[in-house]
Amino acid sequence: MCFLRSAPKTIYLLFMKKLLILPIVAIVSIIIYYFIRIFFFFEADYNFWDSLFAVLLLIGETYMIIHAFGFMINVLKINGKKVPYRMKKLEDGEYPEVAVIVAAKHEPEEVLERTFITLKSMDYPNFKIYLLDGSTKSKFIDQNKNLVKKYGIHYFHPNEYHGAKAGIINDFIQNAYEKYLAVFDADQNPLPDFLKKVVSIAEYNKNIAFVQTPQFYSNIQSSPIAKGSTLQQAVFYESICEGKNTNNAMFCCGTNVLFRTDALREVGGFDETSITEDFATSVKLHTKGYKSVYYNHARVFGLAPESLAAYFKQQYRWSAGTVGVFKKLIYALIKNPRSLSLGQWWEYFLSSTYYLVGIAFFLLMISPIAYLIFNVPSYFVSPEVYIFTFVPYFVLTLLVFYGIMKKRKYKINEVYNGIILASVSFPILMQSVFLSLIGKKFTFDITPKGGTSKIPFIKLWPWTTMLILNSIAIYFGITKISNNQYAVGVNMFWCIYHMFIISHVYYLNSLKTNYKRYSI
Amino acid sequence: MKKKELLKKLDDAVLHEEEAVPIYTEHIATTAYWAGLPKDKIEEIKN
Repeated sequence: MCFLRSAPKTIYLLFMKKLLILPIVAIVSIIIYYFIRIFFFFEADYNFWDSLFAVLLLIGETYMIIHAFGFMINVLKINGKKVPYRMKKLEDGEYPEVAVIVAAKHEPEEVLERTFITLKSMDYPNFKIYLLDGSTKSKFIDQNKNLVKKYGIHYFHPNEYHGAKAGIINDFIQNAYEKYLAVFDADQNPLPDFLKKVVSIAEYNKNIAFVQTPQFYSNIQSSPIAKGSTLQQAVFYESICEGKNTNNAMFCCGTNVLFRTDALREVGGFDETSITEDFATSVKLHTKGYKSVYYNHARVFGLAPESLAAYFKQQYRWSAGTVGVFKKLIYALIKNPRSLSLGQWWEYFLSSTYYLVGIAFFLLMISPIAYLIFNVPSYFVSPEVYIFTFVPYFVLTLLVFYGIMKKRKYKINEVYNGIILASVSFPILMQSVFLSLIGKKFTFDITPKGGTSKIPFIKLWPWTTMLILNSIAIYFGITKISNNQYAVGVNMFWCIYHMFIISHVYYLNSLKTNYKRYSI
Repeated sequence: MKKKELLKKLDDAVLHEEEAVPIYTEHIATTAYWAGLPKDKIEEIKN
């Protein structure tokens, strides 16, 4: 009994001591669950409607399982592994020239000014700062010209506006003579030693095309949205990117990155056909045999979206862009499977399909509704199978995820906040994925910083519809529960769980941000 | 470099430092928050 009482703590401690038992057990539980899941799928006697919903549910679950598996593999890979880069010790006079560029379009003056101040404070002997101004409104052009004059920054404005951020950078690098290009978004504030660190990594190996550093949001006190976004970034940058780094599959995230200018030129500059030009360009560089490095140290601080509307806008763009690259990756895989290593294909597959999570979540959500209202799929595994296969997979995956976050000092309410924010995005992700798959063009739109705009209630109809459908399903469940307590009970539980998650959208949308006009 | 130029450079540097320090201080406060340190330690770092 004593052992049983202390078992969870013991497992947790083993995990913390890097014995890696928990991730390994979680991987085994994932594999067992999936094999049994597939077995019962083929075993069941389905009619057409049963088959349709069973396949949809299986697709949703397969997606979740693949990504959970990928995460566990990353957790195992990064544990105790040495960083895959070295730093070259540079003496005075050896520091190569760097062009520090800030791409901006209609950015608030105070946000840009803070960035300029921190860029000017960088401790590096050989760099020039350029503002690549994509503004089209004269008010912003005048504002930016005054700012660059005040801070002694070089101003670059394209003659013709094309290809959004990628286009303006491509125009700039045509005549750039600097060996390296450090790219920052308008709201990113680097620490003084940023350039010395990343340049010394790039100088060690001339095959390194770019060195990426994390984005670290520092406006977390402004709203729970900002805090939730920060948590999501933490999961990505502190766990997932480290794993990608070990496979030489770290992609550029668009800001806080140092590029080798010649490498960028060799692949024709940034990909102007994608709205996530950074991701698309990384694929090109890797297929050319270049290396990328992820330097996992917070050296730059930026601003998270502060309102739900701003967060959705950001997710919409990232989702559409990465799914667009997914199509290109499939084409590249068929055309030239050897252009990337197996590990790189795997990592790029995970990265480019991440935003399909909205569809997967939706499929998981409609399944219990379909079961309770229409009794499809009519086949349901026995309670024993469910408890001994699904529950361990679900619990262990959550435990590993929470363990990783706990190890990095994140609190459970912060993890919860990040998960909820990601979950309520599903209609946004579904829409952007759909439009991207049918090839609808998107215009580049920088996420508003400090936005306080609320989404009108009427525009929250997808969430409201799902809430109503879940409520109806629960009503049906109550009327049917005496016939099949176990199956109806489990599906009712999922409906309640999904309603709980969805209902957060109204709360998150109602929040006021504590945005302050930054003092300079 | 003439004395006048040197003085101007020093004035600019002081002004620049005065502008930069509050920005870094804000960011460091956030970093301290995420570091999971006790509240009193965070206050100590901030001050």
